[in-house]
Formats: sequence, C-alpha cells, structure tokens
Amino acid sequence: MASPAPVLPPVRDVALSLSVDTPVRAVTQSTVITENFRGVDLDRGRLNLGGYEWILDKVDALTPIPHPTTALRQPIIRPGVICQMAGMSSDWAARLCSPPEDFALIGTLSWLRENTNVFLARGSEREPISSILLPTHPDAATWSTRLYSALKLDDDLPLPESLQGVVLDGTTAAQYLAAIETKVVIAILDRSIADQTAGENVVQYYNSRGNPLSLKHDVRWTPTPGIEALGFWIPL
Amino acid sequence: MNRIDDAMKRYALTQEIIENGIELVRVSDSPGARFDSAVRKLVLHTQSEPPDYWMDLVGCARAVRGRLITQPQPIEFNPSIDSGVSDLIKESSRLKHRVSHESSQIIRELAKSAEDLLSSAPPVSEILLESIRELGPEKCVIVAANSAAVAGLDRWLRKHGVSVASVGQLQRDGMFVSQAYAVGPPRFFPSSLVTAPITAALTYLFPSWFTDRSIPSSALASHAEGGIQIRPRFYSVGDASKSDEVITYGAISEADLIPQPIWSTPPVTLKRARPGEVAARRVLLSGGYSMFLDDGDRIRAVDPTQQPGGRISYTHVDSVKIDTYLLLRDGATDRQASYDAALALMGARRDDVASTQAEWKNKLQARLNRLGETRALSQLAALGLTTLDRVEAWIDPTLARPKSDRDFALLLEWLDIPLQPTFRLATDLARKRARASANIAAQLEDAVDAMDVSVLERDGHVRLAAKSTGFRGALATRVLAISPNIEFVQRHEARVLMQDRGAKWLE
Repeated sequence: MASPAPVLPPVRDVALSLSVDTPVRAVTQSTVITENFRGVDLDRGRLNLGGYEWILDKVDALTPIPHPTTALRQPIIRPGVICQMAGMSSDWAARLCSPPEDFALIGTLSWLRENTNVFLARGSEREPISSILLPTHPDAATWSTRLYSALKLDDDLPLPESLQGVVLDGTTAAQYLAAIETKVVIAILDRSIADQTAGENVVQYYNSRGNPLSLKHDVRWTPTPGIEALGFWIPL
Repeated sequence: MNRIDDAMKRYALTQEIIENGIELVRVSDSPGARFDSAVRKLVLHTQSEPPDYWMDLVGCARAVRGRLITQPQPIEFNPSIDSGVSDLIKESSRLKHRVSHESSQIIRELAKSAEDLLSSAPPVSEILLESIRELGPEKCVIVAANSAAVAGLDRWLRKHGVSVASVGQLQRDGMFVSQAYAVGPPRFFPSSLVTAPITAALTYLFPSWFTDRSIPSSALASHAEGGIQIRPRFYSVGDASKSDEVITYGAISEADLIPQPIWSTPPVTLKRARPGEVAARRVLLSGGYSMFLDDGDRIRAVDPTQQPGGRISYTHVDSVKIDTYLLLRDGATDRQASYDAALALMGARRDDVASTQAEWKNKLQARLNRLGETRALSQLAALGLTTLDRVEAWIDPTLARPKSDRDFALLLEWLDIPLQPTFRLATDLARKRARASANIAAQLEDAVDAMDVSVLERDGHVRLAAKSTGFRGALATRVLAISPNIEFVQRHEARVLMQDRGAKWLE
C-alpha cells in the first residue's frame, strides 16, 4: 500500500511498442480488461484487444503482462475511503493496471476470501479490504495479492521471487515459516487452540537462526494488549 | 455477534485476566493425602523393580490418583473412582502374597487408603458446590480436565443447574458467564485456558497434596513483546492443622505420578532398519487403538475447534502431540486405498496393469537381491538415473512408477522390459491414483464436516460412516500417548490401526 504507483508511459506509446498477441491489461473508466493485444489504429483512434475495439482516448492505462492470460473483463474497482486517505486514488488507473504482485496470504482459502471481503471503515465511509489488497481470483482481471491454501502449499513451493511479504495465517501455514524467504513474513497464531506446537516451532526457529528485533523500536509497532508478538530477523 | 465483536471480547477478557490474575484454591484433603502418600511410596519402591510385574498396580494407582484430582464428585456420582478402587484392591490382593514383606506392607497401605476414599466425599466437591451456590449457577461454568471428567462432573452437577465443559468446548462455543471454576491444577489444562480466557475470572480448585502449582504460558510468552504473565493468588481452604503436609520420598515428581501409558513392546536397543522396514513410534489412540507412526508423509489431523471446511489439516509427523486428533482410515492406509481405487478406475485394463506392474517390481527386487544394493545402484547411476534414493520405494506395490519419465524409461531398459505397454499403463495408473486420492480426501472432508464434534471431544474418538463404495469408513481419534522408543516395522504396517490395551489406565 505504501509503495509508489507504477509510472506507465502514455497509452498511445505503449500500444505502438507492442507486438501482436502480447498479453496486456487495460483500464478504462468502467472496466479492467486482460486480453491479447491485436493492434492499434491511430487514424480511427481504436485499440484492438482480442478482436474487440476500444476507443483509444478512453483507455486510461495499458501495460503488457508477463504471463499468458485468459480473456477477462471486470467492472472497475473504485478507490474507497482508505485508499483515498493513503493518497492512492490519484494514480488509480496505473495502480489497477500494473499492481505490484509482491504480497501473499497463506491459510485456509475459503476463510481468506471471506476475510478480504470485510470492510474497513473510517467515519461513516467504508471500503472492502479486497479493493486495497486486490486478491487473486479466477474472475479477477487485475490482482496484487496471491492467496495460497496452506493445505496444498507443498505443491506451490518455492514461492515466486517477486514476493516481498507473506502472511502465514494459522497453525498449518505457520509450519512453513522456515521455507519462506521473502523480506517480511508475518505468522499469525491462535492462542485459543490447545495445540501449542506451532508456537514452539517458531520459538525453536528463532533460537536456532534468529537475531533479535524489537517491534517497538525497530518496526515502531507496539502490540495491542493481549497480543504476544515475537520479532526477529534471519540472514538469508 | 459477528466475528470481529467476538475477537474484541476475547481481547477484553484477556486484559481482565492479566489485571486481576487467577485464583488457585488448595483444598485440604486428608484421605486423599494418605492415598497420595501411599502412591508415592509405591512408585518410589517399584522404580528399581521389574516393570512388568508392577505395571498394572502402578498404572491403576496413578489413574485413581488422577481421577481424585479431575473428578472430585461425591462417591455416589463417581463410578470411575469406585471402579478404579476396586481394580486397585483386586490387583493388590493378587500381588501381596507374591512379594517381599516390605513390598506387601506398601501394597496393604495402598489398598487400605484407597478403600477409605470411598467412605467420604472429597473435600474439593464441597468447596466447589459452595462456590457455585454463592455466585449463582447461571453465572459460572465448570471446566473439566478431560472428557471422562466432563461426563463425571456433569452427572453430579446437572441438578445444580451449572454447566460443565472441556476447554475445547468452551473455546469453540464461547460462554457468556463471568467466572470459570477449573477442577484440577493448571498443569492438567491447556495453557489456552489462561492465555485465551473465556471468562473474566478463573479459579482452579485442587487438593493441597498436589504439589505442582506452576501456571502454563503460551509458547511465545517468555520471548515475546507483550508476553502474557498471569499472576496467581493462592488460597488454602480446610483444616490446615491435620493437614496433608506432602511427604516427599526421594526424587518423586508429579511427572512420575500422573497417569501414564503402558508400552506393550519393551524398549529394544537401536538397530538398523532391514529392507522394507521403516523407523516408527507407537502412538496410543483413544478407543483402545494404537498405530505405528513413521517419519514420512504428513498425516491428516482434525481440529474440532474449527468450523466445517477448516477442520482437516495435514500435519507434519513431528507436530503430532498428545491430544492431537488424527484421522485414520479403517483397514487400509491411504496409500493402499488410493491404489485399490486407482486399479478399479483402470477398468478393463486392470489385469494388464496389475501384471506389468508386478513384472517390473519383481524383476527390480530380484536384481537388487542378486547384485546387492550397492552394485545395483552403481549400475543404475552409470546409466544416468538421478533419483536413486527412491529405489527402495519403487518396489512398494502401491507406488505406480518413478516420478521422472527418464528414470523410469532407463530403469525398464536396465530390467530388459520393453518400454510399452508397461510405461503407458504405469503412467495411466499414476494419473488415476491422483484422482482416486483426491476423491478419498473429498469424502473424508465431507464426513468430518458432518461429524458431531462434541462427541469427538467427549469420547475421544468418532467413527465416520462410509458413504460411498471404496471408502470403508475412518476413525477420528485423539492421541493419548506417543512412545519414546523407536521401533522398526514393515512399511505396510505403519499407520494402520491396531487394537491395543496400552491406554487402559489413561482414559
């Protein structure tokens, strides 16, 4: 969220630089599209994406995407109260078009999806967490946060190198702490479950490889009363 | 109440417990103290004796002592003390004429003190009832240490209008009362009772002859910022004069006195695994079962505190602990079951695949026997096979084929077996196996979602009914004990449910 918006060249320039059949993402006033680029007609001011023509001037952002894609259209997500507060709304089209793919949530997939639909509120306004995190979804034409099922994580390892931060939610996910090599890893453990193994494993990992890190002084986060937090760093 | 409100409330309760601390009420109990002292003498005396001889008497004595702590209800509501004491007296009279004079005196005192337990209600029960009446039964909840104690205490307290629950039940269902009375010392309960409290006030009640009064904390607490330290407040109740000053005999700690499992195989000196064997630990399971847990694939566990959809997890073998609930299939292991189902999915080619699979596996085994493992492996390495550490597993009939196409082709060539149809059939079998094992997983998940988790917590195990063909049913069962000894067992014996009486004095 704190990362600066991507700086994208003007749509016209991007379109002229693309070769045919490059997978692209485009953002208009109302829609986010992923399609294969088919061409641009400057005389008529038309952009051809997968055989459909779009008015070039109404396309706010366009960028090639590295991975092949299925054709998707998704109504545009508008910046809510939290995004506006964080100053993200001004470069919104560029952010939607080329969001950082650097964050992942690992846990029980159905719960992660449910939880990203929760609203954050400020005053009388509210915004779903999903419009900030842009979680992956089969129907999502744009996404920023990968969601992984902890049960099937073995099949997904190693995680993509583009990831900067990972949240391990719950006991099963926390078992993978030592296998994750992103800059920041946050493991969330539930004290109310009887099995303390996950916590013991974290402490063991800390004792064997960790270097002390003060959350209060180094990260400037003071845990809310009732939360026990252990911060440490590991040389990679 | 939504989940966010619920979480906020839990943090508020944690805050209150941190500020107010918890109460530990030690209740004077002379008959119990006399029995405890007799058990201590027995345990100390038999430490240097042959274990088999004393196993049942010591096991039974520890069980009765444990039940005195966790189930202090009056004797007419206490069949578990009643039956425990009569088992103990039976076992004492069986032994007392066959042992030395000193031993027989210890046994006699044990039997006498046990018999006296039946003549009066344990003092903890009176203090508990007084506390409930004083506060009002609707304002408190009684927390029991295990499922047998939930059933026992509930039988007695139901007519007093107070609810009895295990920590697991409370964590799952929540409870909107202000005070919890835990029957037993903190050691008998998971740390979550104090670190993730369900009530604003918590009191533990236990007989004063129980010596371990430490309070558990979360695994992170001692290292963490904001680590939760709970302040105990001690109270002694009852007549301290004729009190039960604990007589300590040598180095007997609580760990020697709490109920323990019986390991049916005596410890063996460590040896190496023979071909086809794996190193495993015996795990005692609720319901009178055990199994050998090898250090292999992750194993299915059930978390009854979770909602449907999130109850099954795959746990690393070293994360399996006492009170973990495992999900085990009847009869065949997962590996065998998905292999059988995959064979069935092969349809008309079933016999072809069975015979080609048998051919290459038998030939491989024969080669290994003839050449010896070292020579065979070096020949294979010379051919360029890269996954040689798996050769042992390739012989396993339930494994369809080596993962690497190249290695499998080279292996068949080395065995003088034409590539086709063996390669194609084995590949198809592997594909069908993946499908079959996904089916089995889905069926287990449905069965666990439909399961009554309160029964699982009460009884320690639940049998899951079979719904479709190829699924013979499964058992969700609590781990009661894990053997400290490593044994070597045949690969196909690992993770298979067996009948076992080793947990007789545990449940």
